[in-house]
Amino acid sequence: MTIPLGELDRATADAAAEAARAMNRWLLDALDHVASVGIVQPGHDIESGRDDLLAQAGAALTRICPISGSAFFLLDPDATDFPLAWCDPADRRDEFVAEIDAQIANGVFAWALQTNHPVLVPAATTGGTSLLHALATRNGPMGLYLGTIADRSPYIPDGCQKLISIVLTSCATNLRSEELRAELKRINKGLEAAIEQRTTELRQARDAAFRAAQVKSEFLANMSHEIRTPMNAVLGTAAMLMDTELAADQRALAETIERSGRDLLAIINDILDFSKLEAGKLRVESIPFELAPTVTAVVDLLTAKAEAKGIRLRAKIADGTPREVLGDPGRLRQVLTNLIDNAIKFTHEGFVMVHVAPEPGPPDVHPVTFTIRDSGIGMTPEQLARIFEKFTQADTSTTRKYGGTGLGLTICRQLTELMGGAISASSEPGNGSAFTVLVPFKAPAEPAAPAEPQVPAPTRLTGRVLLAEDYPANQKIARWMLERLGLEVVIAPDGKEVLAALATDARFDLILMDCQMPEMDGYDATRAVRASEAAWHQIPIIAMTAAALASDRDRCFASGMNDYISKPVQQEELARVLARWLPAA
Amino acid sequence: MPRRPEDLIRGAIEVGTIQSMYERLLQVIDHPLSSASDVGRVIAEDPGLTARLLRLVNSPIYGFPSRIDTVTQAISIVGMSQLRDLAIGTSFMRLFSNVPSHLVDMDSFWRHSIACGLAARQLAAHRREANVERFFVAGLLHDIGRPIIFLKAPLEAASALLEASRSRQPLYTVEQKLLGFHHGAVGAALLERWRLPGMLVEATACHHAPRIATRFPAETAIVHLADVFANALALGSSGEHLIPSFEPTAWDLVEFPPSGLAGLLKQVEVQFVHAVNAIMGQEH
Repeated sequence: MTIPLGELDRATADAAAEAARAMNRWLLDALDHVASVGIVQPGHDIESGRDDLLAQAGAALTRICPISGSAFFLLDPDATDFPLAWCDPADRRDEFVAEIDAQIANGVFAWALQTNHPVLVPAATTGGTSLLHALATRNGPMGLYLGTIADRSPYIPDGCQKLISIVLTSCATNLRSEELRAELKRINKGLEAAIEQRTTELRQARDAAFRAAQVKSEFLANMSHEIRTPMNAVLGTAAMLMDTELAADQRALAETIERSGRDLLAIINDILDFSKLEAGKLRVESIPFELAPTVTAVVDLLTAKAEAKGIRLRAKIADGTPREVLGDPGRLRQVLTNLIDNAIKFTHEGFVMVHVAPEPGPPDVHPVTFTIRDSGIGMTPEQLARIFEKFTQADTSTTRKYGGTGLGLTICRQLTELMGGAISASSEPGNGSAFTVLVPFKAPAEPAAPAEPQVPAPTRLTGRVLLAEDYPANQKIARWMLERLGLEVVIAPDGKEVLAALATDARFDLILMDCQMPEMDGYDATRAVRASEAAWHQIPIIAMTAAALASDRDRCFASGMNDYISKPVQQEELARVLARWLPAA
Repeated sequence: MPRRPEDLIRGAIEVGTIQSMYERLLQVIDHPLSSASDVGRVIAEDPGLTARLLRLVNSPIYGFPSRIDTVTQAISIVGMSQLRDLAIGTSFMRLFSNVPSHLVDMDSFWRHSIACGLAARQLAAHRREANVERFFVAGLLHDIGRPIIFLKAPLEAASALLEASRSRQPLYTVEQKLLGFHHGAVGAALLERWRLPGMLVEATACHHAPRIATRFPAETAIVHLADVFANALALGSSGEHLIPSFEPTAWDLVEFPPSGLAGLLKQVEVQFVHAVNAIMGQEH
């Protein structure tokens, strides 16, 4: 049979096309296998991640070329050894190790490690072929792949060899990134621990510093308090002394003692306030009060001092200034006293003017400015910039010349800020100074209680007073003051003695109770009295305390006391408070 | 006066028997399913080429632990693409072995080319390139345009040599001035016509200015550095009397540690002797 030439050509062309199609199929198939290599599940540990990668590579290689077994030998950098890390089938492990040992001995292993393509050599331990391929990245070799092939001269086309290289290079790269990822994780963990430790250390240091500052403030507060008690005795004794028959020069000496004592007390009060401010223990009250009488009272108190220096002290309250506001009259008084007193101190001739004026504000807020202007020595801009800093006066020579703690303006500023306001100053050397305090008072919901009328203190009262006071000097002073008012006095040095005195002698009209006493303090003694079933359990008890905070007052009332008088006890104040509870003579 | 590099390569080389071997090698290359024995069969038809390749792969340059006796064995150990590239590179050399020229010493020319090939191969090995032999071939062929200029435009070539020597300029800049192009463009046109891999074409075209390479910048940078090293070592000469100017960006691209430079040059000098013996030695 003869085949036409055209037919033959067509047959050849068909065969070539079929071959090309087969090749295409093979290539696409192989590329599919290769593409699936190197996908690792997140969250695995390094060991299982590594085995995953090796198993994927081994499986891909088995699919693209006639390999019957695969083994990976990974470099152990510590032992400079290549132990078997993974193989398939697992039961041919010994066979793979024997083959690789033989290839190490004949040098092919070393050769393959340095090359980046498949090395095909006759198997050393079987009649087949061994395919060796390095597992390497740019950083160097990480291990070696061994594939066993049954055929002595296998058909592994060029394209297939390139795919083998791609699979193993990508496997090496993935192993390397797994290593780096583990390393990164380890470093991160170390870093977190370091940060945690550093944070703890810093927190401890901060807490320690905070505690130290608090201890310092508490110490200052306690010290000031401790000093006030004997100061009370000094002032009281001076008053007692002046009440006796004295020659003119003796009287002058006693007056000096009294004046110096008062100055010292003012300094201590400054320190006490300041340390309380620092410790964050000072609170401002919000009670309704009348503005004009408060300002006038401060000015009246300091008028004598100004007149003694030949200075005019005047106050002017502008039209429209609210009559009543909600705020802390005590703290306002303190700020104004401080500023006016300062102005008098630094003015040698001329005037000190206090000007009170309303400022515009939102509804329910009554901002008021208090301006204290003087014709004193003034300040340079540099001095002005520093006056509100603590322990600072215009300069150190000022301290020597004018005295003072240098805390006054700092306290003024902090008190003003505590009241929600602001303080500012302007001055020129030789042209006087002006301090302006702005306080945003609230509008009172209900009318203020009228300012306490300054009724003249009574001079004579009747009754029997039990005086609870541990400090002997103060016992003497209080006894002297009470007896001057015509009262009969019995002394108890602590709370227990108070209860003993009441038990043996029930004819007392009032107890004057010091709060801080040894054995049993004033609060406990008061509670014990109120808890008693005796007839005297309702006796009026008046607290005497050096603590000046509203919270201390609350504590007195909470324990059952009826009234309150602050130390150091002043004769007039004592008479005024007692007059509420005892009949006049 | 030639206008374009292509004018120079027209009918440039008498090929004869080598062409048929070369054509068949390319055919094998173009087929992804060709195997070691396919390539081996083609090479084995040229006993001279077979002998050269076996001498080369058995030389200390490769340092394979046991003797390699057949081309098929060589392929399975050195790699198929690798051996194929070596076969093409050394065959090409043979095409030019009888360029009649009083202007250039072809022996010295090929020595320079071998030195450049070895340096390129070392740089590539450091980067763990898959086929380091292709870099060897790239070095071997990078100046291939020069003998063609000598052959086809001898007058211009002579003036260029004189002018370069007189003005102390590199030969390739004078070629550029006199011809409008230099030997890189001529070599690249030739390799392209012979359908050699694009990497060889671009490395040849741009080996004096690797920054303009677009497809194979790192490979071109390696050949550029290798050419500088080979000229500096003065192992043979391609007619260039100055060390070509060196592009620092190429160094950055190749990422070769400066501390390894002395070792690399030493290795090139040692391998040079073996490679020259293997490739240019008499055939038995």
